[in-house]
Amino acid sequence: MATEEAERQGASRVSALHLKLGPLSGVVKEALQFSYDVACRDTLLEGSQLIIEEVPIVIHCATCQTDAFIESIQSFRCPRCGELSHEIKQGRDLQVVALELEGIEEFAT
Amino acid sequence: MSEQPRMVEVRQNVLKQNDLLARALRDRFEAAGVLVISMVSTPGAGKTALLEYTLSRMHSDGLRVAALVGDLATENDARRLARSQAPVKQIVTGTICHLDADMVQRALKDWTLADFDVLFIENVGNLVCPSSYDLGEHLRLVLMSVTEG
Repeated sequence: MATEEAERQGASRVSALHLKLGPLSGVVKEALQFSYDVACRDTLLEGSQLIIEEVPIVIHCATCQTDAFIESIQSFRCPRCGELSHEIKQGRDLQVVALELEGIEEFAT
Repeated sequence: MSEQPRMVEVRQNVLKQNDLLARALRDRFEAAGVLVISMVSTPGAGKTALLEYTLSRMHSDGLRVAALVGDLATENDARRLARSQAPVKQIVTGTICHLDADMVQRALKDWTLADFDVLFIENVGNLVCPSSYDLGEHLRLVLMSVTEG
C-alpha cells in the first residue's frame, strides 16, 4: 500500500511511515516493529522509520449518551456509570496515516 | 529534487481490501438468497462436531446446506463433514491462522450460490485474528468451551 502510494507520488524513497494502531486491531506493536525492517527490504521503504501512534479504545455508552476512553481491554464498561458497552468507536485501527517521501521531482509552476 | 522529506497523507486502512471484498461477497449472498453463518472458537471447542450434526440434520430435513471449512493443514474436517451428504469444501490456509474474504471468494468459485439456502463457514480454531476479518457473513457464531476457561 505504501509502495503504491510512493510510486504514485513519484518518490524515490520513503523515509517514514506513520501508522495508527489500536489495541483491538489484533496487531502487536512490538511484533510489527520487529517485522517492519524485514518487510521493507528491497522496497522503496528500505531503511525507513515506522512511527506508530497508539490510539486508546473509545466506547459509546448508551446510558450516558457519551463516548468514553477505557483503560483495559478486559473490561468494556463505561467509566462513569459502569454500564457494559459493545459499541466500539475507536481501537480497532490499523491505518496508514501518512508517508514521508523523498526525492519527489519538483516542477516549477 | 526536494531536500526535505515531504509528508503525504494516506489515511488508508490496512484491512480495507478485505472489507471491500467482504462487502462484494455480502452483496452476492444477498442476491442469491443464501444465509451465511460463520463459526469461530478456540481450538477443540466443537465447531466441527456441531456442524457435523447440524449439516446432517438440515440436509435430511430437505434444506439445501453447504459448508466451507478452514484448517491450517488437513482435509480431515471436510471429510468428516462430507458424511452429511451436503457439499463441503476445505480451505487449507497453510500457515495462516484465519480465513479472509479472498479465500472465501476463491473457494466459492465453482459453486452456484443460488443452489443453497444456508452456507456455513467454519473458521480456523482461533479467537484472535479471525475476529478482525469480515467474510461477508450475515451471522457470526462464537462457540465457548467452558473447560478451556
